[in-house]
Amino acid sequence: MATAAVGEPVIQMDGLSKHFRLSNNLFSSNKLIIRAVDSVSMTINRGEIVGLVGESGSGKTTLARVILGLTPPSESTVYVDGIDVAKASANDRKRLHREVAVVFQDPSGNLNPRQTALGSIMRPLRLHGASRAKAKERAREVMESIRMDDRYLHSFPHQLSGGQCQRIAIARALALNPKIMILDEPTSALDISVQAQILNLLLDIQEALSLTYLVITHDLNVIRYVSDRMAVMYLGRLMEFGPTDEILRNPRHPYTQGLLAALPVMNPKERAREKPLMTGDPGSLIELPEGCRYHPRCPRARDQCRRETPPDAAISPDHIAACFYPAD
Amino acid sequence: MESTAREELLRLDKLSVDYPVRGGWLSAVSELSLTLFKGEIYALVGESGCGKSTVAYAVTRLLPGSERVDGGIYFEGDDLTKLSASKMEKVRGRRIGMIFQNPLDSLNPVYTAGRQISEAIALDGVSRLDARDRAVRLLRDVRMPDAEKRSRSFPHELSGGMRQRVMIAMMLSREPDLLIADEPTTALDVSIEAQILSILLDQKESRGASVLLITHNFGVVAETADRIGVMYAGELVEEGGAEDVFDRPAHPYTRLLMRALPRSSKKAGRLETIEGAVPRFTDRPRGCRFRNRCPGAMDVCAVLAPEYKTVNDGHRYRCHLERTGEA
Repeated sequence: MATAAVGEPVIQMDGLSKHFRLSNNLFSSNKLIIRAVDSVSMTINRGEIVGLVGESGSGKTTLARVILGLTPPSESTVYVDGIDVAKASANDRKRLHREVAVVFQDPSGNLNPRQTALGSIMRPLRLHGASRAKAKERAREVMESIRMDDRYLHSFPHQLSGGQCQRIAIARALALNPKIMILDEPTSALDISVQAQILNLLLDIQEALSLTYLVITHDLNVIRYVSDRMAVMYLGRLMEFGPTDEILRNPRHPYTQGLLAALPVMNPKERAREKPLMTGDPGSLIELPEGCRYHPRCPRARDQCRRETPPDAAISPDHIAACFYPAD
Repeated sequence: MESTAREELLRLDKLSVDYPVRGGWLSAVSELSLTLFKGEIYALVGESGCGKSTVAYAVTRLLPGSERVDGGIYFEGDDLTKLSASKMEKVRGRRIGMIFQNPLDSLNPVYTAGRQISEAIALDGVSRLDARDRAVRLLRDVRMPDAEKRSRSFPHELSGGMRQRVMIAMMLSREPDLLIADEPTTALDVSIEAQILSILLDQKESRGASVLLITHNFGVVAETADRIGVMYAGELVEEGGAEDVFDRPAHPYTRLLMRALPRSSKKAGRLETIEGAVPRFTDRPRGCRFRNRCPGAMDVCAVLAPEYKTVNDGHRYRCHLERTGEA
């Protein structure tokens, strides 16, 4: 199980939930429950890139934090490379820290401002018992694999551009030879020209080292470019999951359809096309609607949608949509 | 495009803005000339640090005060750079409205949404009660869900998209002729972005307002702009009708930027990239500012700043190279 071949599941969750309790008033004991992630089932296979897309409050970052073991699940669990993250022993936990790396959005906030790039890259290595000399050697190796000159190892984050900081964050993530990388909005803070450099770098690394990526972003253009399969979340629930090209060509869930319709098309000549725009705002996780969470914004909603939560219905063997009345 | 009887609303004439930095001046905007006509959406596009927001702040005279401004900013005939502070006060809000990227910075946290909007309306001598009604109507116009109830909400009770709607309602309340929108949708989700853009388009169509849209997002530009100005390192490097610039980008920077946009799957090949990052210039350099990243740079580019070349009526670019091939 530990060394699964290409294509085997490496991240598995079945009905995973993460709820937060929030007291709504300093003086009352009434507790509000925020269902940030609610009953999500998903499998990510070795060597693939899964894109996770959703608007703010969809639970995509919370899901990543549960996978990383930064916050325990409330219901069910996640298996990462066969390890139950909720019940992992200290040893297993150490293995997970080696095998699962993460890169966050903010390139400069990602790095310790008082440490040089070298210090940042060496830190996880030192924590996992490498000698100073070994850690330094490895830092030079990863710099080479991200095609960045050694001299930047001695720079502090404020001396680097956003794109360079993000490269250093990627180098640090690679230091422990991970099998899985979680990339949370890896290019959202970057300019277009720099975004293209970073996306290409991430794809090259993924192919060269046959890594598994979970790319979390609100940007469908990025999802389309990098991912093999994509997952769409809305207010804590998985709405649609399947092959990226299939979903983009023929979205089945009304929410996915709305998202795609809202995506600007890079061609002024198509401006006059029919745009079935979503109305309203993404709802609040505190006042969740009954039934399907998307029904207040859904043009296809019927009575059943207002009463019952739709299950993950299979459209094809590897394509699901959580909708009673998916589009054809 | 239709060049008949286009009325000029705003004209920047060799506008330069420099900020003081240690050891000299940072050239943020350099000899930028452009004209915005009545009833059009002009998108000023560029990457961070290219000077596009400085243009917005210069037009509204909201720059910090330590900067050096040269050139003219003509708005319906008046040079805004020469207007007294009190006259400028009357232009701002009443004739030129602004919205920014982060609405929370611009809203007063202790007033309800409705009160902030009606205060803007009351500036024009409308009675308090009428102003309240109009505030709710404006919130409906900007498609605020549950407008009546939301007019009694405080900014912290609203989502980012709702706050931006309040900002827009405030701006629209005084029906300005020129709307300056600086990254109005950058902090918003795509479903809200599309709604906000349709409000801007509607302003243009329903009452002939002009919009100066400042953004780094080419998708937003493609959906809204009549004309596009591409900025690089403080200079306007290309300008033209939206379809012309998208179909036939002439400047190497515009061309590379268009190809760096992810539009298809990795299966169709890797994105092209522009190596390096946008440079910053203290003191105005000689030559072309893009030359160190330009694949076609020649010797002349280092010594001589290029002049504008014309592609067709209204489409011009600033480069020593002759335009070759398609995008």
